[in-house]
Amino acid sequence: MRKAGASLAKFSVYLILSGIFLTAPILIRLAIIPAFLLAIPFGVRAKFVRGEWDEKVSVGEEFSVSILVELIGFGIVRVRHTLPEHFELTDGTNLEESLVFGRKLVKINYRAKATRRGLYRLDRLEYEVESFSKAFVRRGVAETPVTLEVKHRPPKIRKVREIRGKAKSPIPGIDIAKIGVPGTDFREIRDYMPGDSMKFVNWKATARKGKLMVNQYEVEGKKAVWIFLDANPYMLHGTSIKNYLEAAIEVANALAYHYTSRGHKVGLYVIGDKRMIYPDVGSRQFRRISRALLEVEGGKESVNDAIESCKKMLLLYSPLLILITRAERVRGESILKLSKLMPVQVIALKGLEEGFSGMVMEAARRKAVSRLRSCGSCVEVDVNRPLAIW
Amino acid sequence: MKGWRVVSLIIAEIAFFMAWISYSTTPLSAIINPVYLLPIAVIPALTIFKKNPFSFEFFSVLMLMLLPKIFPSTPLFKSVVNTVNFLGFTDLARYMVSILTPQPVPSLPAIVALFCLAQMLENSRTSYLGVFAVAVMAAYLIYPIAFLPFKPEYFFAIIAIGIAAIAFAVFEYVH
Repeated sequence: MRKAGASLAKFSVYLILSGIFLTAPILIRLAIIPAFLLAIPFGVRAKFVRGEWDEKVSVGEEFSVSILVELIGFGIVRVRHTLPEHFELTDGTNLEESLVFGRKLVKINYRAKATRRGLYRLDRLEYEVESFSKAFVRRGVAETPVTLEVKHRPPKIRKVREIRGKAKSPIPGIDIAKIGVPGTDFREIRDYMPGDSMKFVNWKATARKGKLMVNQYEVEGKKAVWIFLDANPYMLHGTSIKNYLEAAIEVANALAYHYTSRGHKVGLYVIGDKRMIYPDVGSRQFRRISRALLEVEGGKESVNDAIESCKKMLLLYSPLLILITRAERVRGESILKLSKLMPVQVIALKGLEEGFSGMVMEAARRKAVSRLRSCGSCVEVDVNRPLAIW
Repeated sequence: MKGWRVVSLIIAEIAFFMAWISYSTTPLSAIINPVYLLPIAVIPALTIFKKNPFSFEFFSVLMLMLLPKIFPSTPLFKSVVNTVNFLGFTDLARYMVSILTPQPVPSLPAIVALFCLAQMLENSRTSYLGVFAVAVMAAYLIYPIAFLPFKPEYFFAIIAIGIAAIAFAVFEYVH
């Protein structure tokens, strides 16, 4: 019961008691007026009829939704198509109010801006039915099949700035893959291993050495790139729309696009979610990575633990390891150790700290960045600047 | 300030003047001049910023103004008069009967209905109130003409206080 309902009920009782006290039948009879207003029946059922909506958009883009809802019953109805709190309405409204008396079709039309990546199920159509006297209210939920996929649009990275350190990272563009389909470029002669094809046996070398020797050829394909995305809680620093995690996801998406479009095998590991996508090539792999990035939620896992859990695969592929993180929050022992086995590139995000604490964090970050540069390349990315120019 | 309160204020003023006119027609008005009761009309305008202008307390005040018409027809009043007469105060009993004569109260159902309306308007959306507000204001400006036959000498007083209250409320609402 709402405040108006309580007031009417109180008023009705007041009139009855006054009538009894003053022995005035007219007051008792008048108590019927508020009681009648309270007794007016109401109730509406909402049902999704049909609709049109954009299913895929990029972050920052507008999308439109048009839904037709059928309302059956009696009452004053407010229907709302619930949106995530970080979406911005740009045109129209997702809330419609209507007086229903029997059956009525209500159309909800609006345009909104998707400000954060993710897979959204906009399937809640909340409605609130008020009695004609505004004394009572009932709430209900109807389902809609509206879904929305919000992705980061991969920016065209023209150039990845390299900072020369003690050991410069090899350029993966000219490196070749460690594992894959053998090509025709000869690499070396080695001992026969179980599983080697007989067509690769070098009979002359076998006769000379007295044991089976096989030819080893360079495998086809370019060097693998493995992106490690840090999704620990400290990456959520900032607002719900603009924070380090969102920036890291955007960078990862852009790098995945950059390397897959150039024929590299690209893999992904989400630190915190413990989610791994094995290296592979092609646009399908990019879509797989892009989809995985949409579902990143984050969790607790140290970078060292993440690298340890992938160590076997890392040694197998010997990829270029790209770690996207906040440099000041990472202990670099594993990275330093790993940099002796394979090229490592750290992308250190910055730009969201402010004030005195920001200055302290900036000093810590600079120290961490200089330490990480000793193990390879460490690039700083200001999350406030457009991604395409770093 | 919320929009619905302006409409509620107008309803409260209408209810007050209905009660006031009803009181003016009672013999008790010869003892307590109805003009002295006109400042009561300012109460809703004063409370508009804190709560519903047509509050429960204001309705009770209106009930007191209507009581000279309601009470004389009740068995309770008759028993009081009989008791006073029985105790030997015959003149007082006659005086009570002369100033409190039973009369019909046609405005009481309307005042009750207006109070219910004011409660239902609480927290209503302003957009819905727009048309209603205009209708009520028009009715408010017209009603003194309808009641003119009862007390023509108070016509200008009714209009002046009503317009002042509305102007004050609208000014506060706009700012």
